Amino acid sequence: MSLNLLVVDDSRVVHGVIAKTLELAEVDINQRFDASNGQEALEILNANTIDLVFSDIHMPVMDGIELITSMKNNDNLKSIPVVVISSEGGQKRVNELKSLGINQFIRKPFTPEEIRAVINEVMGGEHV
Amino acid sequence: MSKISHERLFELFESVLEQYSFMFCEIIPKDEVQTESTQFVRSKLEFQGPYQGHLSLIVPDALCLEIAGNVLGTEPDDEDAAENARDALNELVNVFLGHVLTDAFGPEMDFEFGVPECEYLDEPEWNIHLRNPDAIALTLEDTPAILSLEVNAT
Repeated sequence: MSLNLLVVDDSRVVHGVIAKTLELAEVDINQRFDASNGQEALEILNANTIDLVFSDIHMPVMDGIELITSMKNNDNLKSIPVVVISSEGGQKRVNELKSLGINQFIRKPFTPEEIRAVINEVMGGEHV
Repeated sequence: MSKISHERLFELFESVLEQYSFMFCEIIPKDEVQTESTQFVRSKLEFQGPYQGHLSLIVPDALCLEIAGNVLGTEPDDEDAAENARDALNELVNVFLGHVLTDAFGPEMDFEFGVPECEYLDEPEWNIHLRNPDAIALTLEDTPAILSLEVNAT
């Protein structure tokens, strides 16, 4: 199954890094959508069928916590898996994100192997 | 106050730099730092929590392009690298700070990061930062850089 992925981060560099890593991981992608904050992400989520979201935490306009909270409070979006990608690795923050309902947490910098493993774990099958 | 030695700071930076940008660095004595550059970029990221402070990385302007090119997998003279040069330096500092704080204080301590900020420096300002006792001098792909971490009790 080809995936529709949404990447949410305010850094164009991070979008580039994730795109390159997904390519190196040979993830089977149908379409990749890019958003620079939570608000843009919600607009994309409401207008498209998205299989998996990769999101940063700190972003202007609407941050990752608000995005995840909005998704989990929306019947149409709450079942979409969310993977947070962040440079912060504090256990309290990771636990807070897990209590909000995220599926996985990836610490930067990350490798194609880590991305591949997380996608297979979260999506419940082989996508690479 | 810092719970991390210059040697450990360098080891962590070396590891993150290699993973993030496939680049290599060496620590060098400050009196061996030589550069023909006249313009430098400083990326600074503040943090707060059980301790507060900031991490700073200063590189010659041209090295930002090289970092961006490596991170994005493009040539340094590519339009994408030029547009994202400062962003790439900020992201490197952001990723590195996360590793430094976890290494120094453990994953059970939570820190709030600020937003990385870039500023241009001239040669006299570069020299002032080089003399900072908290700073270490490096070469990244044979180009000099200054890395410093300041940590204070809150």
